[in-house]
Amino acid sequence: MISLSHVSTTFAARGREPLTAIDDVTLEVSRGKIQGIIGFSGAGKSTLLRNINLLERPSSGRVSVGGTELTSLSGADLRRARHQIGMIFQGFNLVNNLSVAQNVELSLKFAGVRDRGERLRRVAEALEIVDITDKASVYPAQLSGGQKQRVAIARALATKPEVLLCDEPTSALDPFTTATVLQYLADVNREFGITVVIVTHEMEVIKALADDVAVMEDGRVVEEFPASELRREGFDPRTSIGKYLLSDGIQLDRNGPDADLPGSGDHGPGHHDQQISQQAPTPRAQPAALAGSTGGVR
Amino acid sequence: MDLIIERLPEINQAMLETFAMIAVAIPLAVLLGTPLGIWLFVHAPDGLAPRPRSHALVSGVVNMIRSFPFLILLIAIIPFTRFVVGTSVGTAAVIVPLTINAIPYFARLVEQNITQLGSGAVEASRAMGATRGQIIRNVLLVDAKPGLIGSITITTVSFISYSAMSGLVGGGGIGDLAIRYGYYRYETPTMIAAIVLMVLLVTLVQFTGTRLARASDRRITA
Repeated sequence: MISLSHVSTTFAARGREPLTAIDDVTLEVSRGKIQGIIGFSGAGKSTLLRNINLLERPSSGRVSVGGTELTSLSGADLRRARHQIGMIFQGFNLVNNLSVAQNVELSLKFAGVRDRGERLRRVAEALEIVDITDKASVYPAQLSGGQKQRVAIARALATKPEVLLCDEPTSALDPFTTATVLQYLADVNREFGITVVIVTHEMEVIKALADDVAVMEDGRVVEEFPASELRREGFDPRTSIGKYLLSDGIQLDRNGPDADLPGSGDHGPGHHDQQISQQAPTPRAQPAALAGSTGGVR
Repeated sequence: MDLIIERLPEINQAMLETFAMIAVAIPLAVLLGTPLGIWLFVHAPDGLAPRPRSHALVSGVVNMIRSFPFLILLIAIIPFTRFVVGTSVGTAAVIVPLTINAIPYFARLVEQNITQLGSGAVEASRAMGATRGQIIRNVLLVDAKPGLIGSITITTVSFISYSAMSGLVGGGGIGDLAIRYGYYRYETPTMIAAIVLMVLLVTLVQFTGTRLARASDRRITA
């Protein structure tokens, strides 16, 4: 359904070294699957997701969605292709001065649905899917985070897309609301066969929702496995993030800063910060699986 | 008091002239300044469709007009004024420089209003396959509406004050009346009456503007 082939994305800023955000990524997502992409902040997950609908055009490589090569399109053709690709965001990105129903209607207007009656019918349908019909005439400021994300899902679904891209959709939500939103994503995937790509740094989200997992580090996909592997006895992911997915989550070192930081005895206190930035994400508070890992996270 | 009653016809006339100046200059500034402000936003170096060179040029012209003291602009563009309205004196002749000054003034306010909206909804719209025009009409102008109404209010108040300088080319208006009768002829009561009227006018404009802006703003819980 979605095919990324040798995709690279570099950001060139004048007078500075070009930054390689995505480095030669090849990834296939089959129709109807939920592809999870996990990685730490700055790994390039969001950029890769934006590469799929060309919000960020790759510097090289090819992107195809549903058999159409998007990287060869521009202008009106690209916009037409985007009507088949829904997207939701961490910050919901609703138009705050429009009501819930008007926000959802926007995607249909943009998709060129001329008939107002038809638009309103499909708005009602989309609001029904995420059970938020009763808030149709309310404005976003009066909604909770979870409700806003459901409106965003309705907006993305109104045009009946084949693909739904999710950029950290639950990172701004509490665990309970996260579960609700993920349930809706699972439902639309099952009911409508929509292919879902979800980018996140939350391992719970990956474990709960994904069919397939891709691990990203420094702009590369460093490991891929079916999510079912996470439940298999004896599964041994290669990368530290893969191992992190198997761990019990955050494990804190409560014995003080100098207790077992590797090599901390060799440096004065002044080197402490520098070491933090060079090594694992949080030297003191790290997942159990990371503690013994020799391959650094970066 | 008698003096004020005696001056009533002049005061009436002056109010009408002020209304005429504002009623022509402000709508024209909104009509032409809004697209100019949007243009500045869209083609800014980090905008939706960057055009750094033409942006620098247009932005420079806007800054230039904005930095002219109104009194000097009034005189400097007299040839242009004569070309447009056929005369360089009178109320019509003041409307031209007022409008010329108000367009870039309002355009900057529009640009600022849109810039501070944040890019989230714009990015979502791009993902939905919206054209640039659709994004401007359905997202940016919609979310900027309360700010734009506030900007119209500020512009109107500023230009009521600018219009007082119209006396230089015989443009009239309530501010000019205060200067001519109140200052040059030492008719203090006339000056006070004119100033009270200006304060009332500005208060009314500000009050209405604030009410309208608040009524159009759904970004905060009611």
